[in-house]
Amino acid sequence: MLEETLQWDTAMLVSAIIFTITFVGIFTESVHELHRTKVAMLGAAAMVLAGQFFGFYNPELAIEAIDWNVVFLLGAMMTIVAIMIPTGGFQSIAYLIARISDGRLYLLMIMLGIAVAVISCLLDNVTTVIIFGPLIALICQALSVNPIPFLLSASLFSVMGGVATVVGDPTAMMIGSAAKIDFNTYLSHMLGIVVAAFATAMVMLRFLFRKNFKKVALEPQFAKGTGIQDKKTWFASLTVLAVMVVLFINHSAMHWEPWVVACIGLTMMVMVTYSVNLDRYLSEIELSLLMFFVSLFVIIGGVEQSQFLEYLGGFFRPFVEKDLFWSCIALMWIAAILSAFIDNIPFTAAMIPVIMGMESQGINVTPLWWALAVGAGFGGNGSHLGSTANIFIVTLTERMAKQENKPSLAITPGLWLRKGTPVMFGTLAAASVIMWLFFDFYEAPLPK
Amino acid sequence: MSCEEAMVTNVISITQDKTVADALALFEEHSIRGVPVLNGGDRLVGLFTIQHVLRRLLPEAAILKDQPRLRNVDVSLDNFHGSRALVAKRLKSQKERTIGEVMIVPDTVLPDTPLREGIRLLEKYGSPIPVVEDKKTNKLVGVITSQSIIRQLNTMEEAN
Repeated sequence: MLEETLQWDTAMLVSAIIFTITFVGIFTESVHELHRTKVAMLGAAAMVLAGQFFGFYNPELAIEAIDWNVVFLLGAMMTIVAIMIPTGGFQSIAYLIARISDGRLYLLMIMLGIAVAVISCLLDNVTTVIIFGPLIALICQALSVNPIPFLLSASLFSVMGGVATVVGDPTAMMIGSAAKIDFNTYLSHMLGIVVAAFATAMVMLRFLFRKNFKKVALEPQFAKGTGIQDKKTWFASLTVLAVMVVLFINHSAMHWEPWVVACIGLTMMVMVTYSVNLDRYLSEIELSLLMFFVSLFVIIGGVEQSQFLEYLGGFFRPFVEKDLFWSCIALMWIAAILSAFIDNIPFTAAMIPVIMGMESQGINVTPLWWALAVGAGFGGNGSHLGSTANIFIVTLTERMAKQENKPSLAITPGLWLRKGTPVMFGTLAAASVIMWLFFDFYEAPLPK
Repeated sequence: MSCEEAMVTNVISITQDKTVADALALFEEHSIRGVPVLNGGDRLVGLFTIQHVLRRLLPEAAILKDQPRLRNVDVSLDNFHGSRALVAKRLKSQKERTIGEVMIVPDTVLPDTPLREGIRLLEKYGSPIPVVEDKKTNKLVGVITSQSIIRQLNTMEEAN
């Protein structure tokens, strides 16, 4: 038994103390206002030094602990999108939707939701919201309608879309990379859940914002024409993205990790967009986020070496062995509720070694990966602080409210609790039902 | 050469309690594009320019340059036709605001600040830049503007 083989020792105690203090520091960023990356860097340094002193960790092991697949994948995807945004292509999609919806507001929300979710499948969902948020605000202003339902739903759908693929969201990248889940396997397991969640959210939003969907007369405000400022770069980027999708679908067969596809895509993109100023776009990479990942991996690496999380996992083992389905549902809901209030990236980083520890003990952990992916993903919708996408949208509405001198235009924490949180619970319920109906499918071991 | 030599001393100014409409009337009357804001006496408390009015006519969503990943993005408003009513409405609501609400705290120069530094600040922040006696009291003694500097440089060239 695991409990018999793993004994509590000094290494575990030291790593547990550093891990706990660092994670508490990360989760309480809003209290002490020390950036989460700074806290993580301090924790990583402490872990390496303490590990060397107590003999359970060292700089070589720390370098090995960093999941470079995630770091390169994220960095490359951020650069790709930074090249695409200024072309105006995304703007043209938003305006096309505004024209087609022709003042039918619920249709406008559905179409914007689909666009945001589909784009978020491939591109980071924060980016999707950063692109679409201001455009939605402008479209609503032109239609003289309250932008809150549209902005809030865009944030919800971008988070949901990100759950669908292994490259759609940083937590998905971490889970996919750690569990060696390829693009197709991830998509085939997540797509059904995301589609069910999307449909549930649409119905719920129709009800929650029922007073906001009266048809408005569309004045001739949306000019015809594409509005694309740099057609050459936009269409070249779309072609490269299409090639990347094909490569993602086949990456496992070619023995490539997803980062290889992303970097090939980025290289193709900078070659076909010949005149692109690389420095300008590379400066758009959120280096603090990448540094956060590197530091987290170093911390988690130390905890893994000391076997603390494996030890911790031993306590969950009896529950998982007793009832795998309900363990999955519990993990999904706990992960979601925690992710609504704390950063889901470090939470996922900590859960990964716990699950891997159970796997090494011969337990079938496959459904736990899916449960974690759904919980940590959808959980972002639970509060106004649940995801970076939500924070951006809330900030945008606060600024608009200030400019227009209309406090009602701001999305408050209370408003999110009334309109966003129920949607998160609805999507979790939908995901739980899908998992229950097709548990044999989710339980089947991953193809190796 | 210092900023003192190129500054305008008969400065038209405004106080914080006046409205944007008052400032716009001053701009029109004196053919100027910005005024220093004084506390009622001669102490500088802010700056208000036509540029600030223009910025406030635009929707907030189109000017999010301070947000990460939006720094390289120009949100074009090309697709929005028929927005004249919106802009007019926004101007009307802006006119009622007090200068104290909308002014900015500007960078200032001292009378003995080298002119080249004055030019650098003008290029960076736009015209005018207030000249204060010292940074502690912030007593306004004049302003340097793009025109006042060019005028002074031309005068010197002719004298040579």
